[in-house]
Amino acid sequence: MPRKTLPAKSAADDKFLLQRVRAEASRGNTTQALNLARQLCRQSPSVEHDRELRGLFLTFIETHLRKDSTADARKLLNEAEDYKSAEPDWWEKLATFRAKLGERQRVEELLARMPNTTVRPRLMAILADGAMADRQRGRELIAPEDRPAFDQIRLALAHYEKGNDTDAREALQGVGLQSPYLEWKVMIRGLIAWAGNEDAKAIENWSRLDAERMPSRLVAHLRAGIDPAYLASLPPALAKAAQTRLAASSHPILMSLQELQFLLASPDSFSKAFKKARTIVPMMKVAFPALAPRMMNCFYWLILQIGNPDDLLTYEQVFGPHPDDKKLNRLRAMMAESIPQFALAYGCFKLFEVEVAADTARWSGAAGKLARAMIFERMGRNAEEYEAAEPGDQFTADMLSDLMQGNQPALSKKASLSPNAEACYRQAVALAPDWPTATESLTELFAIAGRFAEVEEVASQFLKYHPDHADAMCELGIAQAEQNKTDEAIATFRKAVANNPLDRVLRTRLGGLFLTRARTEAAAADYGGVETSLREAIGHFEGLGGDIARAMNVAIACKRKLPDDAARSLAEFGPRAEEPSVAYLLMVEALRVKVPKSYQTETQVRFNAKLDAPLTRQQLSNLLQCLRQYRLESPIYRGIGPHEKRIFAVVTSWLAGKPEREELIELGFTLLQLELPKPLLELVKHGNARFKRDAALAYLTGEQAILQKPKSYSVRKVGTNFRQARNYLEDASDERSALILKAIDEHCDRDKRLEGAINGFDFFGFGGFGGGFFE
Amino acid sequence: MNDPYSILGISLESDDETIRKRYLQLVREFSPEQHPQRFAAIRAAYDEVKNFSRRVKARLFEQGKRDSMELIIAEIQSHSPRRRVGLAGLLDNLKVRS
Repeated sequence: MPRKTLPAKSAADDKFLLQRVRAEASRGNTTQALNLARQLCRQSPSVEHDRELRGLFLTFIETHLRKDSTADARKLLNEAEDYKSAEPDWWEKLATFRAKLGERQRVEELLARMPNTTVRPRLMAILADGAMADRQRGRELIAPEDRPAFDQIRLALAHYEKGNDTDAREALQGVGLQSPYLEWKVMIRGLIAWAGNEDAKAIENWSRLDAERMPSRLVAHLRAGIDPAYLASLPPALAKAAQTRLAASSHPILMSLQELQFLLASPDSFSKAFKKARTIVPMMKVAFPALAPRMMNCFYWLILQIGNPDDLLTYEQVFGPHPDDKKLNRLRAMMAESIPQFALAYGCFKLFEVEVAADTARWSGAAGKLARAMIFERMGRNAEEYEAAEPGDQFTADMLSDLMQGNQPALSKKASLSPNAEACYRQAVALAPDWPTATESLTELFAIAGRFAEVEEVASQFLKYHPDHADAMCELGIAQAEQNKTDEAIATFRKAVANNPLDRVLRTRLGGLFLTRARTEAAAADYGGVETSLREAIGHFEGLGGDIARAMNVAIACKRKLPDDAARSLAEFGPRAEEPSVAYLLMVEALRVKVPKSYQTETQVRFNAKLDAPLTRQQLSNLLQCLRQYRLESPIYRGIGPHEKRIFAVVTSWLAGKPEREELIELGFTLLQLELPKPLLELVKHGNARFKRDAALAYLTGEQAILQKPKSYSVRKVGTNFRQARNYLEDASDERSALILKAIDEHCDRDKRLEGAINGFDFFGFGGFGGGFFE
Repeated sequence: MNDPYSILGISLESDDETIRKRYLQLVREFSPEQHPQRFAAIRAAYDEVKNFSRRVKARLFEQGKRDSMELIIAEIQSHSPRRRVGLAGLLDNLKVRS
């Protein structure tokens, strides 16, 4: 039939047709795309359109080969070969496809069209690999001259499989350097080395393989198992496939374990993992009895991380009783601690302690006693936390029982735990008197309650076991000081400092005690003693403490009417003598030492004058530090109230001067560090009004609220402040930002409700019962 | 494997003296000059278990915490004899898993 003459087409038509070609190709409509491309070439013959058509052929042939649709690939190849092209690349590509189809004859014909090509060895290699993979007619697919090498490789592989490595090596002798099967020879040498655990030799052979050839792909999984650098060099998908293949070739159970590992990687599939484990555990017990308990451990600890109470029953059904925690009381306790539900944790640890005490085979002698002490100590901590928590936030065992029975739990009820925290700690100390933690917990409990005689007794007992224990000596010294046993406390701290000469805390404590003694001696007009004590104080103090001692020296000299001594002592301050903070110290010490009124007035006038002048942020910080130091002293000097007011007024006027943002924030952090909530409130109000979206100010606002009411701050408000701070710091990487984020995290660790409030929901939950139920 | 007991080859119930003797024996066997990595691992393991109360605490509250499926799989792989697979096996493996 005569072909109709098509009307001339415009460039716009060509563009439209080209778009259709590409659209059909992207949909996988091979025939339609090729017909349209042919039409395009006919109506507007050009190099570009010809390339488009040939590109389509190549893409479609490759796709068919990948899908093993060899008939379709052959059909298209036949059509493609009808298109003549000057580009040698075109014929090389078609020849490569023919080689992949194992069509040696056609490959030879195509090679004949490319007399100067260098592609022959590569094509022969592809034919060689394909022949080796074709179990039925492989030998017929290759050139007669390559068939002996082909046979030798197959023979060598058969010998290798049977473990006859010598015969395998001998068979390989017949494969020459020019053979397309040289690659296979190297692969088999590597296999023999691998099977004999000669990993370095195996890697050496396999690293010489061409990554494009079949031998390299066949042993990729084995190489990945012994060559970490190779494994790391693989793309993630290939690496995973290699590991899966390795597992499949190593031991049948490994496949299942890898599937299990995959399930455990996602908390959502934890129940599926249990299901899988149910089938694997019996196999593990038979094949790897030593590893079965370790698998049990994996699930045990994962329950704590990602599980819920329901998983405990499944765990027991799958694994049976855990040897270390037969009734899972320890796990329940730790889960309760993580929620946190302290009374429940306490109750479960109590049951666990009974189990440990009864299990004398496992927990005998000193280890048994210490283990029980550790459980009692942990019970004590839970009891303390429970006592400190809000009643509505905490379950007791009775309340949980009410809830499980469908009754409304009595939320206001907060039954005390028995034994209480003190009794738990005492029991821990009785069981392990030389274990520091038990003693520390008990002395801390007594110290908070102001029971310093008991602190002294417990610390002294402990020091019989560890006479040089710095922390215990420190606790003992503080307890003695609190009972006004200054000389004994000094002796204790002297010993502690002698053992730890570089410990700044101990030195400062000792300096403080000398200062206290100096005050007592000053009151008794024992000026010789005062002089010695102050010299000792200055010797041990660093920074502010030393300044207080120097200020006292000045005051004592004034009291004794020794102006030269006073001037000498004042000169010890150096240029700092003019600082407002030193003026404050001199005034306070004059007041406390009761110097003549005229001198007192003089110091007050000087102090007021210093404070009337504008202060730098550093001067203000120093002044606040002095105030804080006096606030920490016991007893606090009479008259501190008006001084504090005066200093806080200076903060107000400093803020009124509209300091720079950075200065403001620096002072904010100083106030936070010194735990001065009142001026900090003023500062954050001022800062938030002036500077919007500031992370540090948002953080300081939250901290101020906590500082103001440590036990009853508004979780919602603080959560909002901390959320803002986190949001504003999203891309920050400076040191201060890191510190803020760390501090917020620490608050969240201490108070689990905060994380929920930061994330925008109330977290009062207990497992599935959460969601603000107890608010 | 970073379990200090496995590294030192001792049981959880071992006492101070046994642990110390074993440590000295291993340090003699794996000197820092000839086996720097192994020596560092032995040293770190010893530091972890030499303290009695730390040992009891680990045994009481943390035993098995370091176990993971990854370690178990690695252990099985390291102890399984290397299975020799012929051409058919290698080809099947490549076809099924890739």
